[in-house]
Amino acid sequence: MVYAPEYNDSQDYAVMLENVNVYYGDYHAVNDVTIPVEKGKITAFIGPSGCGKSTVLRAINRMNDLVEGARVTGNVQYHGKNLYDQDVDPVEVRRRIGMVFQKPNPFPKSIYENVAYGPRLLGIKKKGVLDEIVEKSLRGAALWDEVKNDLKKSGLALSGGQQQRLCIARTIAVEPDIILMDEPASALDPIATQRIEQLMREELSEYTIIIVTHNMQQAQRASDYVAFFNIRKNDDGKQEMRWGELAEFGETDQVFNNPASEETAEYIAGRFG
Amino acid sequence: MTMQSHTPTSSFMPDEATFQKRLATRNRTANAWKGFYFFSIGISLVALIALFANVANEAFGSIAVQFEVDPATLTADGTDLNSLDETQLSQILVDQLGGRIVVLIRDELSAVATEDFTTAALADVFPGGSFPEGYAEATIADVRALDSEEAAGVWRDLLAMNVPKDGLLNLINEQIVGLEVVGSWPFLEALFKYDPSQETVDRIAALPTEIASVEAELEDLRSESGGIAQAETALADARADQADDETIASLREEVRNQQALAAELENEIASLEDELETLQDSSIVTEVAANYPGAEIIRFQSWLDTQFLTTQMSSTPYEAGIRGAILGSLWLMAVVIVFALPVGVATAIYLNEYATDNFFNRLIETNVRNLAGVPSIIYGMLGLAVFVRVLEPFSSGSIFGVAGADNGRTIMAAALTLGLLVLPIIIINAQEALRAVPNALREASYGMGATKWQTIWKIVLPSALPGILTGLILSVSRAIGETAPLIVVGASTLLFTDPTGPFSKFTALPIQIYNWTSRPQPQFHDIAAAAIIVLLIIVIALNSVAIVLRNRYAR
Repeated sequence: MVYAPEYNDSQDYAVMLENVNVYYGDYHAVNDVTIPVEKGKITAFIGPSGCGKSTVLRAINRMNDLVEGARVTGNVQYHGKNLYDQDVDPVEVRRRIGMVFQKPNPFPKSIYENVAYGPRLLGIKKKGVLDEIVEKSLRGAALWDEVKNDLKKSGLALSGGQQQRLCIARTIAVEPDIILMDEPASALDPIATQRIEQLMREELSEYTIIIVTHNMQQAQRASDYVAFFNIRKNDDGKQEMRWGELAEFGETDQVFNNPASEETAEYIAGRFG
Repeated sequence: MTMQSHTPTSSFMPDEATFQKRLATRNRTANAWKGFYFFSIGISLVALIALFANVANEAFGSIAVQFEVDPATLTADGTDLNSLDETQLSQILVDQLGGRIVVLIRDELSAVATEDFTTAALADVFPGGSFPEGYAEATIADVRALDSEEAAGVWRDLLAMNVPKDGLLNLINEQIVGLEVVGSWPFLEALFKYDPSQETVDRIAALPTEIASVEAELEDLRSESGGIAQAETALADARADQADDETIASLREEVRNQQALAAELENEIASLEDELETLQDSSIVTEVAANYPGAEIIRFQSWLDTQFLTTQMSSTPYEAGIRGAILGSLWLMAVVIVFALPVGVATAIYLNEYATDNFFNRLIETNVRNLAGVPSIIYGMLGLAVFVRVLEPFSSGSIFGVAGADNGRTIMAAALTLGLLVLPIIIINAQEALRAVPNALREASYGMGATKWQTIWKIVLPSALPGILTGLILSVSRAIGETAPLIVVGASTLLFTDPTGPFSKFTALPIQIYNWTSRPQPQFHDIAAAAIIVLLIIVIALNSVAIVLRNRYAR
């Protein structure tokens, strides 16, 4: 990695990745990633396909646990605790660190039930409380005005962009510390994409957001920090190995306007990936 | 563009003639295949239609019924039964039934249990009734002990005082008069072979006279003064007179001629009788008139009617019903569902959501798939060995203290056998349904902080439910038609009582059908066909529900 970010413990980080490695069985997918994620800011992961940015994102809320054979080493520091310690419950982690997926995936339930799913898991049963949470979350995802009259309608009946905002509402209904977004706009049209970006900037400005994106403009427009991942290959003549590595991390302006490494500059200019 | 530009330079672009030839070949092949597909559809359609037509043909049609005892002969002067009073009707019952009158009272009228019947007082047998002077406290056994005439009087008065007139008429109809089906004809014959033409009627009317006249002629010929005897006498006389050879030869010739004439007449009679028989058989009306004079024909009789559905099994086809069989089948299905659905779905959840891809789990999965193809009779053997024999205390209900627990041949044993039979189908269908739930939904649920249990229970199962139910209904509709395992496990074929619970003896629709079709009397084949229609309707209804479910939730 060309640029090793300076950070100190006094700074207020939402989550701190230190020397994180991800393996799928024997395959070493991501090597030695160190990223400090600042609280209340938007951090974007960019890079060519197969560089491991989604893998790292999923390591943050232990979604990789669901993949058979996946293994994470290193330190994912969160509230002074390594999330991969023995005594950490991944279910609890996922309650605090929510996730929005690439394809909108609302549950085949009503809009109301989609949003109320998380609070119900937390044991909230009172109708009044749930109503309040549902309205607040839908407002938070800028969806309330569009659906307030058909909360009983199936979540699947909404348009793609609305479905994705429903998924965001569902995520913020449990008031997570951090929202992970895995290419949330890649399946949406430009207008829906714009709404999501606007949402991140405005309604969700209080949240710490980590977003994986293929879209350079999106990263430039929407994020405060950018982590650029790249693919590394070994050239020792034996079987070819590929893995992902963090190539550069920094403030968005700096990475886009004054990249520290040649490969970052080339990627941003669209010469590969 | 001219044709020249297509020609030889490129092998991809054939010239016009080659192109046309290839096109023609291609069209021919395509049409041949299309024809074959149509033909295949045609075969299955014809088979299906033939199946339904065959069953319907037997289940509906004409019958000829006649009374076992003509009601007119019951009264001395042939008065109509309806105009008689209670005492007279009771008298008829007592006269006709004799000693069986006690059995009638016990089975049809008594208010006390069969085992207490003989020692019960008449006042208990007809609670709240009125009684012949001095007999209210007498027991049935007491009355029996009286001399027969006196007893008959008591029975008569008892019936007359306690049974209304309609009831008595019904009893007479059921117990004495009795309707007997003497012949039955399928629907197509009822439709096309019912009435004889006028010509046939005339011919049938004329034929007996014609036969009689030929017979008379033959009789004449053979009588003492007839032609044959005369010729023979003449021949014998001539022989006695030692007439010349020529005369004897001519007389012998005469005898032969007379005998030939008789043979000819015999032939004529035979052919006329044949003709009569053929004509009589040519329509239902004439056939009944010839064979069962006095029988009444019902041209369109549906064996499948509400009476058939709601009455109990009987050993006479006209009175037999399938209530017991339907109830038995419903009980079976209920227990099958209660047993096989949770077990099957739980297995599918384990295999799909929990099992890792290792040798052991692959072995289980392969075996489940193979079990779905095991012939049903083998499950029957298993059920007999395990559920009927080994688990007898359980399947007979005796460990639950069920009253009258007898042996293991109960609904419970049969339903568990059928449950095992359909379990693989339920598992496979449930697995397909679970597999069809997008992984994105599971991820979304986990991402919300749901546990595995919550994810399965709240997201995966509800999404897979329509598929699971479809599989369940399809397997139930398979189980409801299974015969072989039930026969092996020991379903009753002639059961006159309704099943009362999972531990009672039972019969089921396919068992009843199998039993009836294997009897020689054609009327049983007719009610078997009616029962088949009931079974088909149930199966088709179940499958329709499955299709509706699948379509409703397909989106």
